[in-house]
Amino acid sequence: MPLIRPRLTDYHGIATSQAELDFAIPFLDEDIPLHVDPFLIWRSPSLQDNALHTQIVQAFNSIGRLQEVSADRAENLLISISECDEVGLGSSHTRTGKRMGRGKAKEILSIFTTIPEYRSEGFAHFEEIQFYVDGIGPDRISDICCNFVKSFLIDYTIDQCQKLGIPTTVSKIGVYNYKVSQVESEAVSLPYNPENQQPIIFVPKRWLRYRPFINFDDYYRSFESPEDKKPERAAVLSFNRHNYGVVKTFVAEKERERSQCANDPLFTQIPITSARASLKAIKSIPSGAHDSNDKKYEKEVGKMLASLLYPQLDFAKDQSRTEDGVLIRDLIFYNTRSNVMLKDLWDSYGSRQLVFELKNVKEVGRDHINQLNRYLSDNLGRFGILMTRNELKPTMMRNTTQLWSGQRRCIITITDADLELMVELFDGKQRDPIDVVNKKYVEFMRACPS
Amino acid sequence: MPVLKNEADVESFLKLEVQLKSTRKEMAELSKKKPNDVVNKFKLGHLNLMLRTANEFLREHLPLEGFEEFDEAVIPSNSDVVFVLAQYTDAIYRFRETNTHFVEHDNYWKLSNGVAKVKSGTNHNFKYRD
Repeated sequence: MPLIRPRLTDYHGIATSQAELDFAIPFLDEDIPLHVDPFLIWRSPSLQDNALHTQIVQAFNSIGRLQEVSADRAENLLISISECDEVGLGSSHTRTGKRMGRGKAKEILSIFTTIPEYRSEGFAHFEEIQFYVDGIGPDRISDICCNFVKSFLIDYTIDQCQKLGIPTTVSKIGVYNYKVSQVESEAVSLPYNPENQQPIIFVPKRWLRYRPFINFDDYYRSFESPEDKKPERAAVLSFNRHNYGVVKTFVAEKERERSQCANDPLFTQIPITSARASLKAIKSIPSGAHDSNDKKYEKEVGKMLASLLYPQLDFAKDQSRTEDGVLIRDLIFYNTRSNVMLKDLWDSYGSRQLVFELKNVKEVGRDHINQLNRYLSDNLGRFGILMTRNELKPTMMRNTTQLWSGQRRCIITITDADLELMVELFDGKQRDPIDVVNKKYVEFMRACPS
Repeated sequence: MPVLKNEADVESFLKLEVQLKSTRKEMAELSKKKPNDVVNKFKLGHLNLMLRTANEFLREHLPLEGFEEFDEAVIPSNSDVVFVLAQYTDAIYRFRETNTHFVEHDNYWKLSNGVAKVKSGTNHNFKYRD
């Protein structure tokens, strides 16, 4: 059964939610849209992290020194550490990135020769290269950083795999050896992507941000030009090469603001006020497709549900499909088996992912139930949820219980009233909003013939 | 045939009676402010323990037909709990009335072991009051 937006843990049937794990769960076919920020490693309260940061900057500075001996070797080394596909961070849809070109490597290495302070003292935060070289983004900083600490990350990954029981296989990967300043091939036991057998390395969540704390955009915003209008990006980069003091002041200011630097979560719940506003908006949307009401309903429910069901269910994807000429939208969640009901759904219905089909209709008809039923048979186990406006009519309820009796398929409905109760629970914090799904499931099972 | 067997049974009944009344009072306060707020699993667990003990005393005289304890799955609210506790405190009071008798100058518990020396106090003093 193919999973939708598969993650490594779900693929291996390891049902642990993202909130419970120390590392960001890698997707099998795309990158996690976050990056390792070396500044987070520098400001971490963990001495181990601080030592790793020291290792990162020393390794980077050693490349600067290496070019004095052999420019070719330094360039090759910088190119080889400029991409780290094993960690799967960034914005790629294929989990593979491109290494930097020789020209870019030369440009970076020239910083060591053209700016005397770097030549004599080296970098304290190597992400400062963004201020001198165009095209150095968060992904490049992150990949260089990961390559320098790859040895640590491999040990970390093996440790996490042993804890969770994730299968590993021996893979040959390039690991930076800072004693000899070169990348060496090593055979290590790592988890692998079952789709292409490529090795995977985990990264602690505490190191991840959307963009580095020291970044060019912030610098550019604070850049005070002697002229009236702000110069072009390229002009600023050139200016920086001749005015190291400006960069130094900016970085010193960032260091002072280190308490504001925090990792970005992989998922952020909407605040209670937004949940209430969304509920109010949903209740005011008339049923039907007139005036794009169905799209408005889908948008609001989609926004709310991922937050209401977190952290028991991790949101996977919202997707659309066309059936009988009708566009159908649904929300897919990973089943993390984090409570008794979710375990039951996994065991009894084979639901490794849960589907919530959105129907902005006044009355659910036989066709709607059949559409979801057909969809379940294709992909998603034998349990589905219809998000709709009102309770099912007795005849339709009978239809769903008959589906259970005949084919052991379970389709439950969540209505506006249930959504309201979920928001109440989200607000009151006395129970989890997912308990409403459990309530509906229990009510459905009681309505089924024994 | 008296339900209470001995002094130990009387002790556990008195403990239950106090617990039910104080819980009803607490829950009534909560319910006045937020009747539709749901009750968390911790409170429900303790409420169910109390109700199970009460059911052992009340046996075939349960106050609500078909109800024995709260189902966590149905997410009861504060007002649901107050409604049930009101029935139970009344039933427990009726239990006290039927299981005590007046002998000479005092009320005593009716015990199945035949010893009739355990004073029960005046019944109406034990009635729940808001």
